[in-house]
Amino acid sequence: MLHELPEKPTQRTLRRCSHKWALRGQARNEMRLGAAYENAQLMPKYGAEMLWIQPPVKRNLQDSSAWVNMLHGVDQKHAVEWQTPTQQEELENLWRNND
Amino acid sequence: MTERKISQLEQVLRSGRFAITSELNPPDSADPEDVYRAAMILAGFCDGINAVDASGANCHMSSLSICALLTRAGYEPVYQISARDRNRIAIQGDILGASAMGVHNLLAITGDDVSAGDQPEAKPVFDFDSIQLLRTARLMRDESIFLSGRKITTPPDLFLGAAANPFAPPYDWRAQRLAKKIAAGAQFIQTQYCFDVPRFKEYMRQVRDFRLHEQAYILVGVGPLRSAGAANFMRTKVPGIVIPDEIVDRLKKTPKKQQQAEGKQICMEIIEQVKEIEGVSGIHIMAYRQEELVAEIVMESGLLPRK
Repeated sequence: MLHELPEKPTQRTLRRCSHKWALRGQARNEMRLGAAYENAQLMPKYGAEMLWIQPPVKRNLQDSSAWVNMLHGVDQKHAVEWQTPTQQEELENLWRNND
Repeated sequence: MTERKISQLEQVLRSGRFAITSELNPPDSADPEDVYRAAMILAGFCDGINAVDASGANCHMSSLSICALLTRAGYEPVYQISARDRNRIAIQGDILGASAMGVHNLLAITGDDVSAGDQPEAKPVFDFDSIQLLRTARLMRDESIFLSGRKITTPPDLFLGAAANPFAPPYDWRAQRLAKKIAAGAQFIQTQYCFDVPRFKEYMRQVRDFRLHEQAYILVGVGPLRSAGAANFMRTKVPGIVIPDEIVDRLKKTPKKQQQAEGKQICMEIIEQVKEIEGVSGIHIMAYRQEELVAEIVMESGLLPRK
């Protein structure tokens, strides 16, 4: 017999559920989603960066290593300035005002 | 050093007068007369005529060519430039060429994806987005350089514009998006079709909170709906357009033969409401395949003659 789940399973009730069959189907999926949600909370939250004026993608770096490019700073070098520090501060203030 | 040329649209906006712009639907033809015929209907009633750039990702006569024809005939075009079809090298060259031909209003847009058009198998370029395009144009105008840092001997004279959609979620962040476009260089804004006035009022409240209406001129997008069927098509098939149920229902309740007149009446009622909102500097009338209605809308709304 399949173990009956509470109407709204929580992480705690799901984890304590001893019957292995109960972890099939919906219960198992919800547990995965729960774990994913908990992990997502540990990720850094993006904020004012969303308002920065990003330079166009350097397409000549395609197929090269993102890690190596980051270490050498080639992805950050641009012939022109894309956003002045004052602009950046102003846009970040807008973000803070809306948060 | 020569003085920067100021476009007629910029002059109207700077003087504090209520500006009117409209769109010229590009012909599927190589005959310049098709452009002139369409422009003649609009010219006396608007301060700028937008030459749209393959709207909806469908191929028509190019916006730069339309602008060239319009300036040759003495009209005031707004050159729409989409990032979808050209890379940064082509775009910078086109900006220089446009200014050389006397085209001084530029509206930077990202552009609908090619999948929205009738040639979905085409390659989407999107080397820039609209914000990068604006920043690049501003860089060329203000610092006389290309993106590579190479010097431009005579910089382009540009009045830079951007599009905004106050009706797309997340609503709370629409004003920040506008702020980003203004920071990138936008001096005037043309919005998406406005059919939801309460939503637009709320957007303008946010815009005023951030004092963005003092940094750029905001022109509200309006347009007459041809019929209930057209309204339904637009809200389900055209990306970014929101038409509330009440408007569609109002058109449905109207006899078919009178729906076009009712659509015009709705448009005029919206103009009446939005022109009173603080921070609105003008309207942008998009009368797709109904250009003849632009003059009627402008005159019957009392926008012209200007007081």
